[in-house]
Amino acid sequence: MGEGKHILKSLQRRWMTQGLVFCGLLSLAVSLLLMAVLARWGYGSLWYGAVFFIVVYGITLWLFPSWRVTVVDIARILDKRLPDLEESCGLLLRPVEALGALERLQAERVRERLHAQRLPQPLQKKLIMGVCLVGAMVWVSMAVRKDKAKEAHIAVRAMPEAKVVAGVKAVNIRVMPPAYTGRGVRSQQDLNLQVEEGALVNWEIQTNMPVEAMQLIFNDSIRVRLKAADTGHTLWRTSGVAGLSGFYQLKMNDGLSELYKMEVVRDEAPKISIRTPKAYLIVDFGESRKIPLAVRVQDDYGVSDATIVATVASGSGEAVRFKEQVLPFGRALWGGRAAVDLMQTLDLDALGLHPGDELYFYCRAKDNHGQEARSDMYIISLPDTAKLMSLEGLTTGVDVKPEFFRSERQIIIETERLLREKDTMTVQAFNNKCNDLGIDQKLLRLRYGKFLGEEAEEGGNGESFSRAGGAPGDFGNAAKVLDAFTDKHDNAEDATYFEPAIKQQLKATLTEMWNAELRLRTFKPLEALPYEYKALRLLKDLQQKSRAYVAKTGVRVTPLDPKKRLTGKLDEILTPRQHVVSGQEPSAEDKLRMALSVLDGGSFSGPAMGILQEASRQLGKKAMDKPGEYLKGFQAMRRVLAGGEEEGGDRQLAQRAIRKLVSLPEASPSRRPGPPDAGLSQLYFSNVNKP
Amino acid sequence: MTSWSYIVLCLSLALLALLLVKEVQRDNRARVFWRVIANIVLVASLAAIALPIGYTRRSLEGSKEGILLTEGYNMDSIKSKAPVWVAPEDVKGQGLSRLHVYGYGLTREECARLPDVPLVFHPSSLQAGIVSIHWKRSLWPGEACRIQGRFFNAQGTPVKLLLTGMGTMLDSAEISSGAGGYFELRTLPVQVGRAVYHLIALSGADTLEQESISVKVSPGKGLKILLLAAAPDFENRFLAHWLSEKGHGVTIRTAISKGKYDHVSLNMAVEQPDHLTPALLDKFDVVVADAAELKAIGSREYAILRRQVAGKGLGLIIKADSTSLGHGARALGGNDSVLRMVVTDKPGDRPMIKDSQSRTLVSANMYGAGKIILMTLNGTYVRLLSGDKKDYSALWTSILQEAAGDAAVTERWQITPDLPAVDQPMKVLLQSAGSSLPQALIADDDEQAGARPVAVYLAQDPLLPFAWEGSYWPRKAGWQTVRTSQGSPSWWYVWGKDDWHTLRRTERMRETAAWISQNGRRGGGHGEREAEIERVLISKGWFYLLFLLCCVFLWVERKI
Repeated sequence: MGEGKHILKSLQRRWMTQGLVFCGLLSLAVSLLLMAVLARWGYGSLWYGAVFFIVVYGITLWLFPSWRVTVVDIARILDKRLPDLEESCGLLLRPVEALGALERLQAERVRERLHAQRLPQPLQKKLIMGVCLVGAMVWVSMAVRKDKAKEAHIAVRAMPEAKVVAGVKAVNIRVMPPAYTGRGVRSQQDLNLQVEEGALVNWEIQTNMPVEAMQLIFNDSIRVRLKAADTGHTLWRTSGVAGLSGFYQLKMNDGLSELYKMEVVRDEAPKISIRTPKAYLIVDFGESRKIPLAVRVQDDYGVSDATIVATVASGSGEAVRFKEQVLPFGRALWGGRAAVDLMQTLDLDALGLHPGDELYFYCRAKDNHGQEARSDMYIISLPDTAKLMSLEGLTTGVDVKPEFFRSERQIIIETERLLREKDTMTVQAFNNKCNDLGIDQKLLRLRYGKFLGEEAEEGGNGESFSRAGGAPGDFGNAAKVLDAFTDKHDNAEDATYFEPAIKQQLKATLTEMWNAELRLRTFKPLEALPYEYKALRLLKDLQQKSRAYVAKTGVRVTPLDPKKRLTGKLDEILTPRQHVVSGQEPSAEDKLRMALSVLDGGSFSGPAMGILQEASRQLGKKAMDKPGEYLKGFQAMRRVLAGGEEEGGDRQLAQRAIRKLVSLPEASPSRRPGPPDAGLSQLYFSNVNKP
Repeated sequence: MTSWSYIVLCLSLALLALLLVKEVQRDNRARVFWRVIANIVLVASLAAIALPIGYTRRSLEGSKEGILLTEGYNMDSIKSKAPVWVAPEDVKGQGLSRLHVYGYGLTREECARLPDVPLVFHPSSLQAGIVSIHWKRSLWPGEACRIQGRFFNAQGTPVKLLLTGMGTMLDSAEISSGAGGYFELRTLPVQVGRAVYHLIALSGADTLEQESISVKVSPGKGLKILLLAAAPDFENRFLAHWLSEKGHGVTIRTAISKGKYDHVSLNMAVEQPDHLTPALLDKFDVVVADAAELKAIGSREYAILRRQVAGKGLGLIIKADSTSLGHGARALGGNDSVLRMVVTDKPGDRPMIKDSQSRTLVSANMYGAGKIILMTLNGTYVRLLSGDKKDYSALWTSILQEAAGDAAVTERWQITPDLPAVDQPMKVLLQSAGSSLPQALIADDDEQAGARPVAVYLAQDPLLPFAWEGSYWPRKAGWQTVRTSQGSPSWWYVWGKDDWHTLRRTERMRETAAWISQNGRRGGGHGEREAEIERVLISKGWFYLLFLLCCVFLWVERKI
């Protein structure tokens, strides 16, 4: 009896597993499909697949609950499917003890029949279907994947890739950059080269089969034979030093490869930029005599040395003396770094600079390759204050205002005297004196301000009253009162008195005077002194500006023949003639322009071919200079000219390169065709003109 | 009666004879009469199926409507159940009172092929695309190619228009969805000769439209210019150098003393321009002269010069100086020592260049067949010195071009429509100065060996004896050329069938609408016309039914 139940139990177990497996297959199929779709969008990760599988598995378990089959269900199904069991399968499930005698007999019969019967497999079909579905999905996702791979392949093909010549198995190029670059040996498989000038390039080419001869042809002219390195004539080597840019191709037996570029990178001289000081510096009285110098030196590989060359020019007129000194920078430059920031202090006293002298200096730098560069010349000038005080020049001046300049000089003299006498005076007296000087300075400033049309301090004081009502006849004269009591700004005459440049300098002078006055009024004559000197120097410059000087020179003219003079005869004068012919035939650039049009058309006839060949020649010349820019266009042009299988876009490539070569056309007049004239307008015109 | 009708009739009679013989020889003589009748009807209906059988009747106004479907029709928009045609030729002879046209409509030629029936046009909505375009097909070197048009942007996203050519992108424009869609693309062609640029409309990554833009840059023929200078100056020196650089022929005559001249000839044969004669002036297109020099040459030579301008179309450019004050030029007030002059505007003058205060600096005046240009600019070389060569070129090109005018040619070709297409009729128009009967020879671009040009015969215009016209159907897309047997070729471009589809649809819609408005006016009395006799075809279904009934009778009769 227990055996019967056992059979049912095992059946339940089997169906349950089958149900679970079916759900698994179903969800596997669905998740495979989803994964394939996602992979197509670029999210092809297995993790997504796992997540899908779990989610879909849950859903299928819920949708197809055949795995939840119970023993009772099975008994019912068997009853239904197998009529031999006489609807009595349920008896097997009940305990033996609970069965009646008849029932027991029936149960026994059922058990035996159950043994004999072929039990139904309701889930088998589903399983087969599931397997088929998974197979189909695998096939679909493979197809999708292949599609994608194809796309990827196309994308790769579209990228310009270095093609290897047919028959060449491997290429190995060793580039040994020269020592100055400080770079190590590198090797590459691409035949397109970009190397430093002077680098040793070592080609090693391995072929599939023995080759009789192999050559490298540079720029269509220079041929270099490769040497066979093994007895089988399959390994070829040569080496050379990179000197000129251009292109080369490989010649194997009689076959020629396409063109490869060889770009030679030249070493550039170091670049020097001086950050401080400015190109022309004036060190005024009272300013520090120690000038900081900051320099940045850059090179493409490394800087090996840098120095300052300073020249002191002293004296004036014909007695100028020059003294050159070479100053090193403070720190050593070993290591050869590509960019160095250098600092140095120019001590004008140590260099032996006296007032009135000038210092000229420049920086010099050397790179690893021994190339030298120098910066612009910089000038530091130390004005001579003593000279400012001299009256020389003023006496001979044409249009000068001596009183003005003397006043500033007077203030300086008095300030210096005040400083000398400071110890012998009382504080009160010193301050009073100082204040007086400030007032003097102010008056002077106001006087100069007038030239600029600046506001003069007038109006509102006693003087104004007297001016306004001085004469009895003027009583009540509004114009006069206004004139006396108002400030007159922007006086037109004042405003146009000087040129803008002079005005600007005058303004700068006034600023210095302001500063000097401020110091004087706050009893600091020592601090005021530099401003006074500067104001004086600027005034002196102003004075120099208004003078013109022409040197006297001796001229000897040929003596005139009085017989020929003033006769008015022109017989012997020949008519000068000049005949120049230029640019009659189409110029080289015109031919390039025509080639652009020819490339745009269909097939080429005889003259068009000539134009293209001319354009190809010009492109080739350019490709030698700049292979990186023009080589591709040149190659495309050669393919077009060869007329064989043209790759897509070859013509466009060639056009693009030629377009870079020609400049934008300029407008030019020309004889343009008008409407055909059968004499109608002539007839009209002659009739119109008839009286 | 066509041959088809005869064949059908003969075959039917033969069949009938066979069937009747069989019927007569039959054993069962019952109902033989009915059987004979059935046989006759059977053969008759069989023949009627093969032949178009109809009757004529007086057609009645407003009784019958028809539908003509053209490209782009929308099936859902058609509501009535009237008979439907797709080709305008089929509509003929249907006696319709009204014809509904769905889709983008018909061309003018197709409209003309329709019978005289009132049309009702139901246009479909347009798709995104270029609806109008224009550019100058033939350019001179240095002239920019400007492509102007309108893009109908039906979608919500902006559309990008790209102009590519010579392997590079030349210009681009963006059409936002709301705006009118007007665009202008501009490029300066660098090639000399023919080229095809491409205009691509992109929406995101999708290409909406790709069209070809044909551009021809013809190298201009150089001018021959005579410079008459009263004294050597920079202005003439730089002008001559610039002209000779461009390949023009220049002869300079500079007065160095009374009756003594300095001669320089550039790019042309040496002349003796000491005295101006008609023979000498015939060799030049333009004379550029200082006003002082024109005074100095004397009235006789000056008269010769003016006659040459009026009669032969010589261009004369007079550079004003202090001697021409009052004669067309006036000085500007100013306290500086430089003489600044402007042209006094006169009626009939065309001011060419004006300054910022709209005072004329250069003005042109027609004089007979030629032009006299007065210019007060006398320091243009400063532009060259400051590196503005482009400016200088543009200035002198405009002045010299105006002075040189157009050269009369013996023939000039024009084509219409603007955008000829393959397998569509186009017209070639010729203006010819010759008196002989011209013939057009049209050939494709790649004139390979053996490819013979097509001869097109031209009709003379009844009113204008120099105008000729011929029609031609291009067979191939691409460049085509036309010439007379002696003349030089003229080029145009033929587009493919599917090019400019939006533009062509718009044109068709416009033409259909125009046809309807014209026809509506013309056919005002249409309704009062007498009813026409029309022929109505009987549907074949009836004959099929008759045939089947006869067969059934003959079959059933045997079973009884």
